Amino acid sequence: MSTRMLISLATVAAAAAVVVPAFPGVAAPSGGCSYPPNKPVLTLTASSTTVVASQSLTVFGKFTQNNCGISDASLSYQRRALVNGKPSGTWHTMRTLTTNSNGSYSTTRRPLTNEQERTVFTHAGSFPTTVSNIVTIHVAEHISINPTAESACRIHITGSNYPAKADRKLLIQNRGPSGHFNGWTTLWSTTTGSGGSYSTTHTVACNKTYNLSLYTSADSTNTAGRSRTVFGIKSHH
Amino acid sequence: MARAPRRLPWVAGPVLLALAGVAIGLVATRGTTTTRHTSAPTRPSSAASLSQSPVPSPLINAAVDAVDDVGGMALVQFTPGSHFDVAATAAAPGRLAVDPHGRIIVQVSMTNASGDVLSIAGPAAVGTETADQVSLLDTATGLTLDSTQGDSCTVTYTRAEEAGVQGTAHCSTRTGKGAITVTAPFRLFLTTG
Repeated sequence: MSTRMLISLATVAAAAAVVVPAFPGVAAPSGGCSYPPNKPVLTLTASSTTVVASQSLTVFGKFTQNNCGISDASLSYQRRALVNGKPSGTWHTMRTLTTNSNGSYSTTRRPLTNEQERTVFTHAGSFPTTVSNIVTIHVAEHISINPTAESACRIHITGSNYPAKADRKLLIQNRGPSGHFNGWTTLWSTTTGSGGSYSTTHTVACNKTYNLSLYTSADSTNTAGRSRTVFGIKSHH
Repeated sequence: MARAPRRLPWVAGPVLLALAGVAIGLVATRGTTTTRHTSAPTRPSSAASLSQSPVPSPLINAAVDAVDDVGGMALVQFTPGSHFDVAATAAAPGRLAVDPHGRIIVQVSMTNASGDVLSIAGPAAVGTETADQVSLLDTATGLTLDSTQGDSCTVTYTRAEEAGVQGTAHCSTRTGKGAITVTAPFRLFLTTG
């Protein structure tokens, strides 16, 4: 191999070393303003701190140093369960996020149970390990309601809860018309069966209008849930 | 400007509530119930809990409040800067709660296809609320705002009732490029009921 060929190969190799990172897909974080020498700040905000199970939640935040965004930073998006209102177990990484050119990041998910969330940046480049604030997410049990007025002044309701839980007590409650809410009155109750479904029939006063919703109290992993209200259910003979 | 719902004299409310309770109680006691399900009780697993500082309570009390799904729309305007629209749809609704005293609580997150977000949560009454939680993400500039993390926000409500809520969120913050103010008129409306 000639000297000229060796030089050419060396040049190509050097160029490749510049173009291809040592770990493809992992860029070193950059940006921030290093003076004054303040620590970076990592924030986390949830679009809602209470959601109904199955609803999506957007979380977002920013990684900055002296108000200057830090881009290409790899963040661990983590959750920790809340059991009976208290943190339980360890932090689990759900996914990895990367800050964009202005240092911000966002993602969406559908939490099922009460939890705490945070993001963590692990030391890389010139930036130290940084942990965001912790956000508490309350997740209410979702209850569906499908009522029908039947003959003999009976009201039949079917539905289910989510996350699916058996043996959950559901209160069937009545209220005043829309715009005239004075509180709930419990008419009867039922419990969910396997798969979280329920089906219940109740005889009520005839020729009256009911505005019904189902309520279930909090358990160890979900906050209290309430179904939508179905207005104008008229009992009839 | 919409008016708050008319309230009964303070003595009339409890009396009517008691009468209503007795009346519906009579209905309940004369009623009969049939319930069927194939029950296979399961209990949520309970891991050992750690002693930590108490977590905040949910904003809406489902035990006593009436809760409705709401859609909404807002125009988020930056000074200096641009603007964008966001909305909450029936597919991803917000929530509007009313307690037995007629007080309104809103909790809504409005988004758009670009991923911009405006969230408002807290009590809603005609006038200015300073305790409501307001958060914002502008994906184009990377601006984030969060009133729970030191950003200054207020919400001025011009309508606050179960049928709908209308108002304007105001926030201000300081970025590396200077001070920015945000004005976001919004409207929430029932999607169910």
